[in-house]
Amino acid sequence: MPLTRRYRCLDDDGGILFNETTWKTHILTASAAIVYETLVEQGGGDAITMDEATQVLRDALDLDPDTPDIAQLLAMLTTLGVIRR
Amino acid sequence: MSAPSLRVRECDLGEIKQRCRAGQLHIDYGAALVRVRSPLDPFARTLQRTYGAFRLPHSAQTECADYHVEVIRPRGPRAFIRPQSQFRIDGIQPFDPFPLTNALPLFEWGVNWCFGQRANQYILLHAGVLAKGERAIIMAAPPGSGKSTLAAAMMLRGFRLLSDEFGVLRPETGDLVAMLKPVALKNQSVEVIRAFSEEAVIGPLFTGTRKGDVAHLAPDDASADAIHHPARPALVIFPSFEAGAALASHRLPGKDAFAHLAFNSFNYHLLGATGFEAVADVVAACPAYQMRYSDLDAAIRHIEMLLDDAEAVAGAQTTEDDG
Repeated sequence: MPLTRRYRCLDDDGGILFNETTWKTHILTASAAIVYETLVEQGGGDAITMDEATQVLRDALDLDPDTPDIAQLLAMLTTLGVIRR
Repeated sequence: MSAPSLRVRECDLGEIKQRCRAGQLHIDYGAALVRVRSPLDPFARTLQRTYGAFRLPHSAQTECADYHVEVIRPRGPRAFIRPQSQFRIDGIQPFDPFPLTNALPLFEWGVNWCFGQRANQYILLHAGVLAKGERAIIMAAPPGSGKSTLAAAMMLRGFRLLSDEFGVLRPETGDLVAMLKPVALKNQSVEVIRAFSEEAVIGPLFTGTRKGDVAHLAPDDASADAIHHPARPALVIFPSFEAGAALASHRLPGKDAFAHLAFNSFNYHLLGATGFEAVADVVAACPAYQMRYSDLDAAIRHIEMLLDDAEAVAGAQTTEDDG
């Protein structure tokens, strides 16, 4: 079953995301929202691999994917189907 | 168009009692129509005082009530030793009886319970709602923050009261609908509001309830007459009363406002994407502020200013979008 989600960007305040499969709502900080939007754009509507995601973080956003915060965010985005398992 | 019906206070008390006894008293709250049956005459008297501004619905409106409730005196030996009042909906008794003298607070909590449990066609924010014209202010705060006191004071200074307890959001339109009820003032708030305005119509004081001493402020005529006029969300305020504190407010990030509104809602968790979109629309349309206050009039002036600012910003955005 395809994972579906709804996302609303709240200007500079971050974003909110609703997972239609689990009915869980996720609150994204401004920086997490940028990561989310960048990875979704990279996938063009499809999930991307973890390798692609970490590459985008390093190259496009200058972020270290190995920090605990980013690792946690990537895990959440995997659950949400943004990153392929 | 039919002429407006009588207000409850314009009816003879005997008629109100009779309607109560026969189960023919209908109360139109805006978002819900409730049919009430009660053989308790003192209850009918307090109902007439606190619902005085409400208009009795025309008979065509009363054919299909949302909730059929009763406030009765239970039978049995206990009825003679320590008389009680019991709230029932559809024959079910959702909570324990109250002392007979506290039938009105029991009824008020009972109607809140029915609405909070069953009105899932709406998103029910845990918030008071007031309006100036079509512009609504959503005031969300946990119990004890002074939300009801501030809502009462705002009504007495000319705002229209839609509700002091439920922010009733209609997902199809994004409008706020009235769920107009008497404002339950607790403990010191009763005297604060009595001193705040001579216009305040306050029912009897019920002492020693589960929430302390409670008295009900009657909604005014203007609020009752606009009961079926929805309002557009324009401003979100998270008020907190702090004795002696200087007035202060700061803008909340949208994601924090969303979390406060959604996760404290009565039924967000039941409504899935519908609730998400509706609350997100509110947050996108309205600036949100945390506001600390101690003086009611100063708080009201500040809210009026924030409301005007919000309207100016919304107007400027509309102009940009059009351009």
